[in-house]
Amino acid sequence: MFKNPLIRRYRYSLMRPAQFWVYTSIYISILFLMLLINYSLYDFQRVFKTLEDLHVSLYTQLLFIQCLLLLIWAAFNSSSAISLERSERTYDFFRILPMPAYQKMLGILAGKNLVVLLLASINLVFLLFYAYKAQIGNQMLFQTLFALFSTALLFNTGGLLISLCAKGKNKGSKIGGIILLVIFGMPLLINSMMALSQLSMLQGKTATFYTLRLPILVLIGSAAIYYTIWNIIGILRRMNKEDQPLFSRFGALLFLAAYYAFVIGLLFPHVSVVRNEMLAAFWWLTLIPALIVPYITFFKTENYLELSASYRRKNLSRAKTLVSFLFISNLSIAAVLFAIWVIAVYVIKLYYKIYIPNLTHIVLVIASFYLFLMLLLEITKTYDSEHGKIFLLAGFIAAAYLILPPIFASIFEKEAVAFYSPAGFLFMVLTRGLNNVYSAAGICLYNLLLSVIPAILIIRRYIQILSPQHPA
Amino acid sequence: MIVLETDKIRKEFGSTVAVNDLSLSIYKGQVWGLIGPNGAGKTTLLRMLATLLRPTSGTAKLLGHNLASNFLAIRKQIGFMPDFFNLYGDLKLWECLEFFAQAYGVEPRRIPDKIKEVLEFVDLQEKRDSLMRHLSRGMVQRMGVAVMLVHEPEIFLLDEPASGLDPKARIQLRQILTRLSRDGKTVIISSHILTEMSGFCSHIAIIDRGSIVVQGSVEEIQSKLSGAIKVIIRVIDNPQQAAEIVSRFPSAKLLTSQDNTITAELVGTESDLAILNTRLVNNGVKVSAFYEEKINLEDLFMKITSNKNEPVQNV
Repeated sequence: MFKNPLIRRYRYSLMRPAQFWVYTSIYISILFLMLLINYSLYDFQRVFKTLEDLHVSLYTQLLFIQCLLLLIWAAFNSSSAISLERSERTYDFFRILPMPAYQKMLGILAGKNLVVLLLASINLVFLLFYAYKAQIGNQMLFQTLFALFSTALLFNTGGLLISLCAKGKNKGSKIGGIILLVIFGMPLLINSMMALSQLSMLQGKTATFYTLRLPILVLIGSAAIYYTIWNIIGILRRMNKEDQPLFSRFGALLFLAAYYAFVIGLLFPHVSVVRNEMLAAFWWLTLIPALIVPYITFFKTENYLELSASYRRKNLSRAKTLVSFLFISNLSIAAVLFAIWVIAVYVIKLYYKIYIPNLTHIVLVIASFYLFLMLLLEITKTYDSEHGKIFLLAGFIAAAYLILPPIFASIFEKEAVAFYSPAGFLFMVLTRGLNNVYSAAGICLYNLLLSVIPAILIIRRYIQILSPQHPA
Repeated sequence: MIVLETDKIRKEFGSTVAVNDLSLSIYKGQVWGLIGPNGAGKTTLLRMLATLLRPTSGTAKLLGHNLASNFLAIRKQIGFMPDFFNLYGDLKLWECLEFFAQAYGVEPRRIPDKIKEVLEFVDLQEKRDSLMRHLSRGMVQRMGVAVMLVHEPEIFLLDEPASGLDPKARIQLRQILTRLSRDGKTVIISSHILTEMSGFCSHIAIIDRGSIVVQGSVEEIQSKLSGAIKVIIRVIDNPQQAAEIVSRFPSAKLLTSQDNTITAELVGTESDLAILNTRLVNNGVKVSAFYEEKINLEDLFMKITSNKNEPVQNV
């Protein structure tokens, strides 16, 4: 492992002998203080009834420390590696290193976390010791550690991916992030500490995934591993093709399809018990990713220009160029992503035999909302290089699109107006279903009318990009 | 041997064309200066050649490798120094060089010697065990060169290497770059400060608004643009006689005669220069100096960019 030049570099900067002894001494001091307090509580205060209770408590506390080390500290290190390279102006040297992307990724994940890994290794020894003393079953211990390590991988790769995607190099935002993490993270940590103490209650509890019954921790760990793989693919793509969208066309389709398969497998075995809740969760859990995935898949103007130049090199006819361009354009990929969502909806209808009144009309209305939002997104992507604030303008329009109909509905006391917002419409579908087909047609028409101007702007932009002024 | 060849390489950022269908061929051992005002496209071009930016269109080959498809092989064989950079402040100089040597695949047993060699080359051997963050800006810049040198690349790409340096550091850096060019390395260096480039560039490309306005060897460009050789003659006595001889010499034009210095313009070859020199000496003029005045890059740049609308000249 130490053959990786990045790990060696981090070892030089993070693990000089003085630093090594400082970190180790602090950890050992904390550990002994913790043992001292706990044994004192057992011996003098009689807080723990039996020695086993004391050991369970120590096991929980050590597990909590392990979580802090691997999920918080390590993830913070992984997510700050690239932003640090940017702010220190060493990023160009990092990028140009002739190392394969996977080596760079491993170098950061392991190298930047050398201290954390050292402390976590020491902590693991104590954790295993107290797990044995507390008579935590092997199966439970394995499941807990599997869930912990896989989640740590997910958090660390996720942090690295986010920092690769972020463009900013502002140190201030990092400090702000830490403050926010402390303010909002502390209650979460306290809660998770309490949850960890109840961890043994999960013993024997299983969850159903399609027809498969799995221990909950194994399911969590497996899901974490699965999404870690996606993170790794994203990191490698980001390192190799920095100016390309995070998702390739095929990658986006595969990710969304697999995500829907995961959500359906997780939610619908329980649909006979809590139908409405599962349906509501399904709508939200599937529609929001259908909006987010295009955002990280869409081409920017620069990508379109490269595409246009490649068509020119091939000497394609004008009609063929246009057809090929439209075929690969952002709007086509949005249409395919939406089609995947529609397939997911009909799968739950047909496979799980769930009756949703006027489902086709609901899908059509959602398609019209989706069309307008995707056109807005395409405008931000294609005009961003010329109008730096276009994203703000589009964001404002999207917010107004979402919020204004419910506001007007309450001002004019006409509930139906609220359904012209995607949020209002979904609320209606979730609470009472779609009963009035005519109002659905009205919403579709309203969205189509709203889409006219964005569509014209996009066509104009496409023509500019494909114009012969841009030579091959 | 061609080490770098670009064919209509182009980079667009939205509606801005940063590099406009630029074609360039660079041979081994040439030292190219990319000269141009700020925003001319020099940095974008260098960053594309360094595989840090993807061209919108066009192709480029570095040492036979395609820029777009074989970037790892290219990265191994180039040394790149960006315009604004820093090196890892928490590393000692030798650690920093060791890191880059390892990352670039230098044989492990050769690394200690290589570190010593490059530190000597950039005159930083005394700082070997200092932390990078304790170096001055000029030293960091020299370390940038050391980092480039440690893996013995075939091509050096330097983007505005002297920007932000004090005069002393500038001179030191210039000495290092002159040594590189003397060692027969292929170097491409960009600058908007023309005096930085004169002396060690064998070729120049003047870039303006993403296009090459003129390119070629310095001598070729000088003679092409000036059309005549400017000669400076310094004599010990009798400058009037010397001026008369010069003015009578076919294809020579007397420009000035001040004190003991005569300036003339001569349309001809180097042998014509030799004949004029012999004629002066044979007529009893004691010549203390006789040399051709090189047109400086600043004059050249002004001369070229004043004809901005003229087509690209290949000389």
